[in-house]
Amino acid sequence: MKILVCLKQTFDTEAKVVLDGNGKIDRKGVSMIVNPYDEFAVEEALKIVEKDGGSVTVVSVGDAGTQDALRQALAMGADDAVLVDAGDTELDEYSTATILAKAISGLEYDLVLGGFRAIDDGSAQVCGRVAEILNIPVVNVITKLEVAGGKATATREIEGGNEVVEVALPAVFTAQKGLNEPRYPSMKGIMKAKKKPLAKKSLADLGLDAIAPKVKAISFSLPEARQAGKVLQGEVADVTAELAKLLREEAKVI
Amino acid sequence: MTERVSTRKYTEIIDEVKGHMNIINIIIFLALGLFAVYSLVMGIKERYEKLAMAMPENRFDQPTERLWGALGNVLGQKRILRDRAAGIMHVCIFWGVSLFAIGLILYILEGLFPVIKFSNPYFYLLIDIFGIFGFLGMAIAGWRRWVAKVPRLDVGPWEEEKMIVALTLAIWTMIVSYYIGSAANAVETGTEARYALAPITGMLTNAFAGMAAANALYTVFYWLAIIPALGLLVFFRYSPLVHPLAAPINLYFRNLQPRGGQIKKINLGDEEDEDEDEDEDEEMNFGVSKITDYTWKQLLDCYACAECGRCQDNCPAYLSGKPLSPKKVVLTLREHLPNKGDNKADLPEVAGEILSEDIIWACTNCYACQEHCPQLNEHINKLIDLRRHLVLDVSEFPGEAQLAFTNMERNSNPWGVGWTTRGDWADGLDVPLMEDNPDVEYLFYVGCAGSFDERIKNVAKSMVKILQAAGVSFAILGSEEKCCGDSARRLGNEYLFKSLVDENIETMNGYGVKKIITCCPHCFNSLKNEYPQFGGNYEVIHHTQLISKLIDEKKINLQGTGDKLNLTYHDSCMLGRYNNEYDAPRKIISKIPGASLTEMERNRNKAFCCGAGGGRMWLEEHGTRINVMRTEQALETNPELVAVNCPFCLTMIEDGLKDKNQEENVQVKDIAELVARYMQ
Repeated sequence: MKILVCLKQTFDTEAKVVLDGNGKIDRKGVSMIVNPYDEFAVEEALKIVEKDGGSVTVVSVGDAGTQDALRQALAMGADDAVLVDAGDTELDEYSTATILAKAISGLEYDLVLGGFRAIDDGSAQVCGRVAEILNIPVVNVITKLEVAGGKATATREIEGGNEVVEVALPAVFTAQKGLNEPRYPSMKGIMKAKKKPLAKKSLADLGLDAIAPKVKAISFSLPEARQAGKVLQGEVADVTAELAKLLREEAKVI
Repeated sequence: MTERVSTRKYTEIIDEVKGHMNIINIIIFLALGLFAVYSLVMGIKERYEKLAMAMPENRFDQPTERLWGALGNVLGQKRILRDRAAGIMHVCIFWGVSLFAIGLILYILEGLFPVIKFSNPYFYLLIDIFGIFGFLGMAIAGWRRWVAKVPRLDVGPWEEEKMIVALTLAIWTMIVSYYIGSAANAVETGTEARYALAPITGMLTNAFAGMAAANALYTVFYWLAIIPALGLLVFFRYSPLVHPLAAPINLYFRNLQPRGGQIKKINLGDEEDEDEDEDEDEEMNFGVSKITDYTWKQLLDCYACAECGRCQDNCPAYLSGKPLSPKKVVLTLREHLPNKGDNKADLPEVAGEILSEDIIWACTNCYACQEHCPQLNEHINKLIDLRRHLVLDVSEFPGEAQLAFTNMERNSNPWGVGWTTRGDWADGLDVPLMEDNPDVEYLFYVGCAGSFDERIKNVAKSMVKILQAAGVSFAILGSEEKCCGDSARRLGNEYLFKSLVDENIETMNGYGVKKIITCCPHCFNSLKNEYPQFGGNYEVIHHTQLISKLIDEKKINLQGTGDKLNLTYHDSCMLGRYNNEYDAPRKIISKIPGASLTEMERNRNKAFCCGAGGGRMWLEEHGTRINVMRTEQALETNPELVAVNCPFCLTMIEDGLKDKNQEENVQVKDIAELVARYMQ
C-alpha cells in the first residue's frame, strides 16, 4: 500500500498575526507548524502502513522553510518526502492543487490523504481539486477509515450524523479532527528523519511552466480589537433603560 | 612390634598437640567454614556478575570525600538516626553485632586452639554488653515488625517473613550460645575469673559452677554459636537480604552531584561520533528499556535497600494512594535483576512489564524518598530513565504531556500561549529589557508561570516592585526568554529540554549574563544546577534569598498594617529539599510586622509536595489529590494565609482551597506578594 499525504506548513495556532507595511501578513517571528488536520492525515497513513505494510510519502508545496514540516512527518514515521519549491509563484488553491497533482501523478499511490482544510486560509479546497485533476474520487471530512481489498470504507461527518462511504482505490481522503490522535515523534524517529530522503523539486523539474493563480487576495485586514466591556451602575430602572438603549443604538442587536 | 611403637608415638604426639589445638574441631570447622566462605564468595560473585551486566557509570572519583561520607553513615549511622526509635534499634544491631563478632571470633579460635588464652575481664564485659545490644536490637526490630507492625515495614505473609525470622533466630542463637558456651567452658577449664565483670556470662558461670556435664554443654553451645554465624555467610548467597554487605559499598558510591543536578545528561546524537552513526538503527535507546540499561550503581541500590520504607512513608504519591511506592520500585527491580548469560533481547521491558506505566508517571520528583533513604538510594533517576524511554524511544506517554511538549516546542512555554507575548505582563511597569540594557547586574528570569499565568503574573509584578524599590539593577529578556525546561526534562523529554536550554544559554551568554534572579524554584534549580551541564554557568538566586538579603541590607523596609497575620509556610521541594533553602523565606516572614508563623507538621525537609513537580503540573491526577492533602495539612494550622515560594505550589494550594471551599477564608500568597504588601 503506497500512501501519499499532502501536507501544508501553517502558522502556529497561537501566532499573533500582524500585517507588514504593504498590508501583507507578516511572517517574521512566527512559529510554523504542520497544519493540524494534515497531521491527522499523516497519522492515519502511518497506522494503515503499520497494519498492512507499505510506505508513506509526504508531499508539500512551499519554500525551503517547509522542510521542517516535512521532517516532522518523517520523524513521525513517514518514509520519504517531496518538497516542491514554488519559487515566486503565487499560491492559491488552484495553483497549489495543480502543482501537488503534478507531483503526485509522477508517483505510485493507492491512497492520497490530506487535512480537510488548512488552519490558515481555511478554504478546504486543495485536496478536492487534486482529486479532480487526478480524476479519482474524493471523500471529505472523514473521521474513520478502513482499507481492505482495493476498497476503502470511510466514515464522514455530515450535518447531524455520520455517513459511511465505500470507495474504490485509488482515492483521496481528507481528515477531520477525531480521525486519530497524532503521535509525538520519538527520538529514534527524529534521528532517522534526518537521514530519510527528502526530494526537492522545482516547478521546472515537474515539467510545469509558471502558473498564474486564479484568485488574488486584494487586501488583508485584522479583526477589530475587542472593546472592553461596560459596566452600568445606578438604579435598576435607569440601568435597564440605558442597557436597552445601548443594545439598540451601539450594539444594534435589538 | 614396630606397629605398637609407632602407635604409641602418635598417641604421644596427639597428646602433646592436644594442649595446643583441637584436631577434630579444626577439621569440622574447616569443612563448615570453607563451605560458608565459599557460599559467601559465590554470593558476592553472582551478584557482581548481575551488576556487571548493567551499564557503566563513573562513581570512582573523589575517594576521600566518598570514604568520609560513607564512614559517617556506616560508623556514625547519621541518616538512620533521623528516626530515633528505628535508629537506636539499628545502632544496637549494627554496633552490637559487629563488635560482638570480635568476641565470637576469639571464642571460636579458643575452641580450635586451646593454647589461645585471653583473660582481660574488661574485654569480656564489653563483649557481653555488645551481645546484649545485638540481642535487644534484633528484639526491637522483631517487635517493630511483628508486634507494633510499623506500617512502612509492610509486614508480609509467612512466606515473605520466614527469611527475616530465620535471620533473627540465627543471631539470637549465636549470641545466647556464646554466653552459655563461654560460661560452661570457664567452669570446665577453671577460667571463671575472666567473666568476673561480664553480666550474663558471669551469672551463667556462677550458675554452672560444679556442673558435671559442663564440657558436654560447652561442646553443644560451641557449635550452636558457630553454625548460625557461618550460616549467615551462607544465607547471604540465597537470601535477597544482602543489605549488611551492600550497604557500606552503596554508601561509598553515592551520588556526589548537587541534588538538583543529578539527572544525567544523555548524548542525543548531536555530539556525533561516527561509530554511533553506524549502529543507531534498532538498538538505539535513550532511556532504560531493559533492566541492564540501568547503570550498575542504580542496581546496587536494590541490594543496599533494607526495606525500611522511609521512602514510601514520605512519598506523596504513595500516601495519596497512587500505585507508586519508591520502596516497591526498588524491590521489584531487585526481583528482576538479570542472571548471568541472560540474553538482553529476552529480558522484559522495565516500563510496562516490570513496572506499570502509572507507577512511572505518578512520581512528583519531590525528593522526599531520597531525602529520607538511609542508603542514599536514587529512586527518582530510575523513574526518569523510564520516562525517557517512554518519551524518547517509544513515544508512549499521557496525552496531556504531549500537549505540554508541543506547547513548549512551539511557544516555549507549557501553557502554549503565543511566545511573542511573553513580556507583555510587564507593560507599563517600566521594566527594562536585556536587549536595551545588557549591562544590568541581574537578569530577572521570570519563567513561564510569571509570564503567562494570570495569577502568577502578580508574583512577577510584586517582584518588580521590590526590585525597583530596592534599587536593584535588573532587566528581563521579554520574548527572548524560553521555558527553563524543567518540566520537559522531568517528564523524560531530554531532547526538548536540551533545545530549550541551548536557546536560553545562547541568549543569556550573548548578553553576558552573570547573575540571575528567578521567582520560580524550578527555574532556579534548573538554571543553577542543570544548565552548567550544558555550558551555562551563572550565579542564580531565588527571589526569597534576594529579598531576605535586601531586608538585611535595609534596602527595603517592611511596615505593619496594624493587623495580626496568622500564616503557615509551605516549603517547595525545589527550594527546600533540592537546594536546602529553608531559612530565607522563614526569615522574611519573621520580619513581617504582626505575622505569626505556625509550621505544618510536615515542614522543612519533611515537607509534603504540592503535587505539581516532576512535570505532574501538566498531567491529570486521579483519586485523592496530593494538593488537597497538602491543603488539608495547611488548614490544620488555622491560617489566614499560606505563604509559598513557587508558582506551581501557589496554583496547587489555591486549587486545594477551592476544593475545601476555603478560598474565601484563606489566601495563598507568594513571599514576594507578601513583602510587596508590607513594603513602605
